[in-house]
Amino acid sequence: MSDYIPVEVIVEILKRLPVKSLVKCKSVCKLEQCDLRPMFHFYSFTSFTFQQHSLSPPRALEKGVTAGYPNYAFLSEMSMPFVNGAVHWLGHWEINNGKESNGILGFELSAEEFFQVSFPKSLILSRPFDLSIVKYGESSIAVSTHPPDAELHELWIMKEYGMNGEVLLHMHNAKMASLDLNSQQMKASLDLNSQQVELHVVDVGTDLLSVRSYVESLVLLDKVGNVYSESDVNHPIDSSDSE
Amino acid sequence: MASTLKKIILKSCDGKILEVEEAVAVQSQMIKNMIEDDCANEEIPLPDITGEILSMIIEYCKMHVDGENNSNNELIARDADFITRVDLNTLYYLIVAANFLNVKSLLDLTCQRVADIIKGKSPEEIRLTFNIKNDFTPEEEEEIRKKNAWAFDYKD
Repeated sequence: MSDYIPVEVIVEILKRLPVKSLVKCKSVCKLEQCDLRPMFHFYSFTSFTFQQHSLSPPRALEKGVTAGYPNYAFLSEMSMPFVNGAVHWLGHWEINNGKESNGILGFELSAEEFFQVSFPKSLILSRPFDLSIVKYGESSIAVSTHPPDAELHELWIMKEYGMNGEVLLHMHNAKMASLDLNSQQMKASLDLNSQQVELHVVDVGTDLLSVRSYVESLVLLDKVGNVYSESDVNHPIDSSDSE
Repeated sequence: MASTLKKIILKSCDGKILEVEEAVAVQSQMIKNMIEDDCANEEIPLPDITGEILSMIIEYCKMHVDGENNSNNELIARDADFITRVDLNTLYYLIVAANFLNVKSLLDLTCQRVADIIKGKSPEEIRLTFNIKNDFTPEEEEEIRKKNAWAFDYKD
C-alpha cells in the first residue's frame, strides 16, 4: 500500500500517531523514503511552540518550550534520559524577581503530557551549565553537579519515581568522588544518609545517558582515593534510604 | 446566487459523468484552481478516480457545503459516520483521490482514520491489517526493537 500512497500523505498519517505507535511503525517495514527523525522532534512538542534563542557563552544554543511551561528553556545538546515512560530534560525557568530556577521537564509518552520536577534547594540556583541529568538504575533519575575545577561532585538521586506521572521529589544527597565527565570512569559514591558506599559506572560518552550501580568488593574502594575514611565505610545489606 | 448554480462536469476513469454544483466542486482545491484559471468549462477527466469513489467524495463535499451552518459537533458526528462506513480498501482509494483532488478536510479525516486503525497495534498486526511486506531481515528487526524497547515493553 505504501508503494502507491505519496510520501507526504504517509507523513500526514504518521504525524497523527502517538509517539509509541510511531516508534512501532518504524519496525513495520523500511520507510526509506521517509525521514522520520524530524517528526520525533515535532512530536514531543505537538501543540507547543518550539523556539531557539541565542545565549551568551558557554553554550550558544538553547531551546525553549512555551505554552504549557512558559519560559522553560533547556540546553539543546544535553542528554534526555528515558525513564518510566517519560523523556526528561534538564531545564530552567524564570521564577519571581527575574531569578531563574532549575528543574526537570518531563514528557510522559503515553499521556503525551508535560510535567515538571522540582529540584532540591541547593540545586535550584546552581548554574544550569554545571548540572546534568542521567538515568539512574532502572527507573530513576540522578542529577550530577560538575562545577568547573571542583574535585568533588554531587550526585542527587531521585529517591522514588512517583506513579501516574506524579513525580516525587525527594532526592538524597550523595557525594561523588571526582566524577570525571570527560572519560568513562568507574567511580564510587558515599550516600550521606545511609552511609552506604556504592560503585557506579557512569556512562558519559556522547549521550551521557545512564548511571548504573552495582555492588563491588570493598577492597576496590580502598583504591578510589581518600574521599572517605575507612571508618565511614560500612556496607549495610538492607539499604536504609529513609531520612 | 447564480454562480453557485453553475455546474462542473467531472468524468471518472471508468467513464462515469457527474455534474456537480460549483460550490460543492470548489471544496477541491485542484478544481477550484482550474475554475480560477478558466479551465473548467468542459468536462474534467479524472484518470485515477473511479465513479464509485468520486460519488463518495462528492457526497462528502456536499455534506460539508450543506452543513456550513450546522454546529461543529454536528459536522464532526457526520464525518465520523461517513468515515466509519468505509472499508479499508475504499479508504485507501479515498486517500489517494482526496490527495489528488486536494480536499483538505477529507484528507485530514482519512489520514486520521488510518492513524486510529494503527494506534495500539503491534508491528505484526499493522502488517497484517494493511498487507505490508516485512522487508527487514530478522537481525535488522531485532536491532530496531532493541533500540526502541521502551515502545514495545511499556504498557499503553
